[in-house]
Amino acid sequence: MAVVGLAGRERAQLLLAGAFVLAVALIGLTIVLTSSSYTTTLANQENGVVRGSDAVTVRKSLDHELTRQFEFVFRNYSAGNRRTPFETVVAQTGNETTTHYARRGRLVNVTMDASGAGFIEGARIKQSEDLNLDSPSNVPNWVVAEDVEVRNATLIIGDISDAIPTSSPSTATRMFFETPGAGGDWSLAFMEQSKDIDGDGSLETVWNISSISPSGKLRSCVREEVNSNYEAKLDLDAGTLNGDRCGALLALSPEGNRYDVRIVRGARTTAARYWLIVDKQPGSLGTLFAGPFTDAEPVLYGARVRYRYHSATVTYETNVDIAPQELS
Amino acid sequence: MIDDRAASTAISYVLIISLALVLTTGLILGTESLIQNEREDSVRQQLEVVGQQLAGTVMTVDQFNGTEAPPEAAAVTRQFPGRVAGSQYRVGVIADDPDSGRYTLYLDAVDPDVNVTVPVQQVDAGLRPTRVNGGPLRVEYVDASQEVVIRDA
Amino acid sequence: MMGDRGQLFALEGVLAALVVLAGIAFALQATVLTPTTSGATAAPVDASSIDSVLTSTAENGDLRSAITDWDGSGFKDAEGEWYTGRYPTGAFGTALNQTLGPSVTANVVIYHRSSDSRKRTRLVYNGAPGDGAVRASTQVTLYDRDVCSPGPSPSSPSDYLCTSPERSDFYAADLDTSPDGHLYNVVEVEVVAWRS
Repeated sequence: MAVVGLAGRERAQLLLAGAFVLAVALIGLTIVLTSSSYTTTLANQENGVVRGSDAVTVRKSLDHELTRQFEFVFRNYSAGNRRTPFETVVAQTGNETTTHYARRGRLVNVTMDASGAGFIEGARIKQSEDLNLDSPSNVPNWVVAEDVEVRNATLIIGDISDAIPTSSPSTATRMFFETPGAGGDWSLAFMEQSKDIDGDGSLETVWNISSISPSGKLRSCVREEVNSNYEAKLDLDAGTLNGDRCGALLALSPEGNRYDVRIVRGARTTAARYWLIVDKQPGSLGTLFAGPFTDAEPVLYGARVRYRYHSATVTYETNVDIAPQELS
Repeated sequence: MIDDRAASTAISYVLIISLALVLTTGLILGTESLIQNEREDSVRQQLEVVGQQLAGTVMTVDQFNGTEAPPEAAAVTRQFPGRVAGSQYRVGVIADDPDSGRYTLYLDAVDPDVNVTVPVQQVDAGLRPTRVNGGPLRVEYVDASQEVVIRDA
Repeated sequence: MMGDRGQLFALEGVLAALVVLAGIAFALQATVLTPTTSGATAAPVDASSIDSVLTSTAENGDLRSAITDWDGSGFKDAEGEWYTGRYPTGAFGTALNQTLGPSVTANVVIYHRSSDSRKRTRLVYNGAPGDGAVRASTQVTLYDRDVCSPGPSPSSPSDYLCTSPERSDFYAADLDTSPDGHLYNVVEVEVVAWRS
């Protein structure tokens, strides 16, 4: 009876108080744990539209499709009639895109300047007869064009001079693509050398095209001699020599950068035809192309369209240059 | 007759009270450290989610500069929570190697002092080293300095 | 002495036990809210990998050939109007198969607009998407010459336009039927993938 320890009333009340404390602790723990359930809600809100990558996807898709249409218009309509069809398609595509995305709460549009100022006028510089590479100016250091973007540069070499040795880059015809101001300069060299390429012990005359990178690295493609029976067609954009891939030409990719184009010692390549398209008009090229076989004619280089993408979280407006690479 | 020679009422009383007190205190302290751990874990998890989403947004805005002409307006606004598990947090940028485009986003929460880092790889533009408070953020591309900037929305 | 307080002591004891039990019951039923028990399944494949498949096939034209491969009543080689249980033959189907793998099921749906409403055409359909589905979409612009093959020797741009019977054959409407209207339709291709 006296060993009851605690008086009965206090013991019961202590038990009750302890129970309350325990319950409060458990409830507090629960409250903290439930706050972490907010993380899953956060993670579910992430998708491409909110993050903005949908804007980039649609831009790339429109760029690609309008480039395709530009190529089609360029190929199938005559010069001078190319603007209207392309503008029409851009306007229609813009309307359709806007309607399509308006239902999802996004404003997406692609438009061109109504006055036609969105087109980028360029020039096609070409030599259509087999002449030296330095005409019409006949100077050993000929600046073809300054500060231009080049596309579709193609050369058809008919003959390299035998009279003067052209076996190294310092004596052969060089075509420079120089970055205006400071920066890397690429160049091509058209050389004629004597080499034994078929392993029969005797030297043949071979033709060596090399490209020299801004850091001085030389890459070469060697082919049989270029003479009147065998021309060599260089396609600088595709990087091919007579249709075969050439590592030297693949390393040089003139599209997308601005260059000064210069030809040095052009007289040593005695028969060549070429064409290239630059994004400046003939009058502002800096060289007088008097023809009759070497001239510069105005041609459409590309088009500039305005791309707009607006959604609840993304604001994106930019100009996209449509300038296809595969045309001549 | 009950032999109550070795038991004293007062000592029993004190023993029981102190035992109960020790047990309850141990329970409360243990729960508190458990709560603290859980809270830290929860804060770290949420900061990682926010960090990943922000890194994804920064790399997407970097792609906005992929055209030849610079964009005239390029911004993404994200509604991140202002507090994670009840604690405020800050977002900062460290440039590891600006030339090769490697940056690190770090997010640190104030209360449980948790720090989370997320690497970011930029391709076109740089990323300006800033420190902003967590919450709704606006990631935009500034052409004048060719940088992606994280700002308060 | 204390004999008549026994019931009260018992009552207090029972009350204390009830309070503790109530606290435990609340804690137990609240823990089902924590993330680990929410039942959310991990995404079967990253949405960005589907995005990259769509972008790369859109750029090299495989996506366009896959969605224009329509023979009047269904896609080529499909059992019925759309593919079920397998991917389209062709480069797009192969790319999708390689990216997703055998444990993932996908639906490919093409949304296009007719003059007044938004229509949906299925390319691959494997039922309603399950839990944890990811989706990605891209936009494809179709020109007349993609949908209707021009004749053997087209001589002028208008040879590349679609004729009336060819238009009614295709599942999408020609939105520009003017004499020089080369745009056919602007469609959105959406891929939804989930773990099968």
